[in-house]
Amino acid sequence: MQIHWPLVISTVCQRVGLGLFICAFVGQVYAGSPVPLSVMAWITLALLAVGGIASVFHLQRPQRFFNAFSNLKSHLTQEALITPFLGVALLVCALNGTLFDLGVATAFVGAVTAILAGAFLVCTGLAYQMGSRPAWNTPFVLVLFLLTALEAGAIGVAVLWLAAAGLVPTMFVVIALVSTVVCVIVQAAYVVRMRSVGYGVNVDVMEEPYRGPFVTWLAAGAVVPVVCLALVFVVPSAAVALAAVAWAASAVGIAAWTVLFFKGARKVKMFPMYPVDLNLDM
Amino acid sequence: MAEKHYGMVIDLDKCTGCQACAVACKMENNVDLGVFWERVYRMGPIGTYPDALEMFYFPNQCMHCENPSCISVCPTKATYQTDDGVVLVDANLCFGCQYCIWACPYEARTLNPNTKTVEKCILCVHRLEKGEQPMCAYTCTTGCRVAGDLNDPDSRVSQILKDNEDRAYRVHPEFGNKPSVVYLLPRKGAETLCRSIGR
Repeated sequence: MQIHWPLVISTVCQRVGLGLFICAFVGQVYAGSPVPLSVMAWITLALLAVGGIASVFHLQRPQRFFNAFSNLKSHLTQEALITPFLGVALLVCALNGTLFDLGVATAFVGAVTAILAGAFLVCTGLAYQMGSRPAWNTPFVLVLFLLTALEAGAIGVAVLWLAAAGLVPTMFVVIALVSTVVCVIVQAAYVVRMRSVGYGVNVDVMEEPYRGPFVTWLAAGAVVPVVCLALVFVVPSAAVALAAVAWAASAVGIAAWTVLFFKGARKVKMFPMYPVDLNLDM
Repeated sequence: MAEKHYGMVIDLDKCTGCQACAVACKMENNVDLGVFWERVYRMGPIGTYPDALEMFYFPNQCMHCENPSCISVCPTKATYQTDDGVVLVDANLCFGCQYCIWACPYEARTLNPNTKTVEKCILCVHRLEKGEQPMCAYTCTTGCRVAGDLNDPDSRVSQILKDNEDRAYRVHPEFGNKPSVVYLLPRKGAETLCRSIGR
């Protein structure tokens, strides 16, 4: 399948941004946070804005964007319906403490925003699960959307806490490390599954054109974040820099993974038993 | 009597791959350059001449599925189904997200780079409504295509299907789309395909 770069940018921004907000909210509830939730909300809004603009470039007729609210069964419509509510909720969280003070309602608004963020990620994940693309015809797709968001979010929170207060609860770095390892394992399982999806469209990631993004993901999305997060315990004096590198590498890894995700999503062949390839790869 | 359900039967034994249908489709529907609503592929040759040689032609177009995945994924409802079962695209609603192109398992849809909307076969519904055959079927040099009301047991298309039940084949039935375009498998020259689907 062709790589749709606007969608790569858009989905990476969504996962990094929404994952950050969800993890920050959970972190604040359970551990208190040196970084106000409003800061996290601004970062998330900025990332969503970049993603939103990118996704508009994917549309051939963006001026008809408002038609997207028509089919409730479509996961794209569901995404579109959640977007304004999520945007407003994030904006309220971002302005809380500066323009107004929500007081005791802060936690409630944060929870609603986190739920909307999660729902948005679920809709996006489900949108890519489709039978016509054997590589995508699996619950792995949704699980990986959520896991990558969790991974990037947990690392991001660790970075911002370290930068703000110089320390972060050990448990949070452990969660970031464990979520990264789990994510890598599930991604590896997805890669293994791609080798035998059938319909004449099996994907071996060690062959071109998959090798490049796979190796990039392996380095940036797996090795660097895991090593850097592990080193946080060994070299605490460099914790901020190490966590920041892990966060940046994680984002690059998600991007590389998404490129591989698109390239591997070849459409079923009409007759896989014949050497003629009807797959026009659109 | 049940509502009309338009469909088509294509006899792969008769198709010679002349591409007349593809040309006729373009002329009838003013299909832009680079856009195809109808294609004919050559499957094979594979095997060894003369006994094990396999080759046949496969005309491909929108299958006008009973349960089309393109409709359920379309966020704008640009893709819709008529009461007669024909799947159409409203070009005034489509915003070119191409989600339907991804979701269709039959490679039936194309993004028109000029109109920036998605297009596909309309089963020449304007002709069917007048009792005429779609242009591809009308033009077919071998008469391998016949369209009509699949719900009418007396229609020609239903009769052909009834007489050739053993050869009738809907592509990728496992997806549950229930295509309304039914292929009649070649009697000879597609042994590998027939074996793989248990025929």
